[in-house]
Amino acid sequence: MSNGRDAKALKRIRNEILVGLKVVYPAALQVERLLRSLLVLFPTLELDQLKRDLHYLSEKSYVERIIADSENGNGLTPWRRRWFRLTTNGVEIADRCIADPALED
Amino acid sequence: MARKTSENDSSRPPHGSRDRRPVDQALPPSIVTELREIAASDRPITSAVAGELAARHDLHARYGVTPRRLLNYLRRWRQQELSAASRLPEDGAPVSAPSNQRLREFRQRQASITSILESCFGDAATCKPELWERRAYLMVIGLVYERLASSEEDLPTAELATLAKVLVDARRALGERPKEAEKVVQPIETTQPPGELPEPFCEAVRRVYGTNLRSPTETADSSDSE
Repeated sequence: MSNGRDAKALKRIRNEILVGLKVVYPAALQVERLLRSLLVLFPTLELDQLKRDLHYLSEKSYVERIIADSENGNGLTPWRRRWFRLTTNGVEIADRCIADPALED
Repeated sequence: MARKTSENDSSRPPHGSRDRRPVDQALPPSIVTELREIAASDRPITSAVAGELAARHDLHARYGVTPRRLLNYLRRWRQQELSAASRLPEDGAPVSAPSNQRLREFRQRQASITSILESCFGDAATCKPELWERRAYLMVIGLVYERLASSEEDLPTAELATLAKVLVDARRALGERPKEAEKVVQPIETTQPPGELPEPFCEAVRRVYGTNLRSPTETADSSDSE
């Protein structure tokens, strides 16, 4: 289910998520900040789409969620305020040191 | 059943009570229009904004609409606006990816932002939850990144790239000076006992910390001799 996005757009968005997180690597970035920067390139991008892509990239071990001590332990932090950062695998993908066919244009 | 509303609607609820009709039916058209415009704009929808609107139009007292209810409706209208904007075109074609040229410009902008952030804030250390006192630092980085990434009209990418290059050159120049100094000054074995730090390092420590690296015994001997 592509939710109205073709494969090329899907890969572009996921790649730009990794590139955006790489800008501040090894620091983390809040989803709100990431979303607003991606809206420059993808004006119709919605939070729900970004959430799905972050879930996907997390399960592929390219990004990881950083949970602060101040966040609620039962996972009720609003998505826009959650922190994510690249993993080492994510850095290698963003730098194109390794290839992932699912993300290659 | 939809009902018309007007400024002098006699079906308005009593003063201060809650009107349970939908907000766009409880309020007069002029106020609804203003609220719709706010929902369609880029203005952040927060409780402060809703409170200010409610106070300005005296919504609770006159129409029974609380600021909280107004906030919920504004957010719902905003979501409807965003959903309408991302709806598929009528011909059913999927949303396409940006062009390669556009992508290249965006990537160049991202690279410039990276250089600028590194120059201004130093290398961002690893984010660790136990170091949450650094949250403000990370928030600032995130806010600066978002503003730089999204302000293409105010700050063209070419200007950002120029700034990034200037900052990188400046950092490179600063980074080269200490290395050149170390090459020129070599430790002289005849005047310094083995194992002693080179003279410039001692001078640097004295300058920074107001002390020296001689052992307490040496210091006491020298003070006795004086």
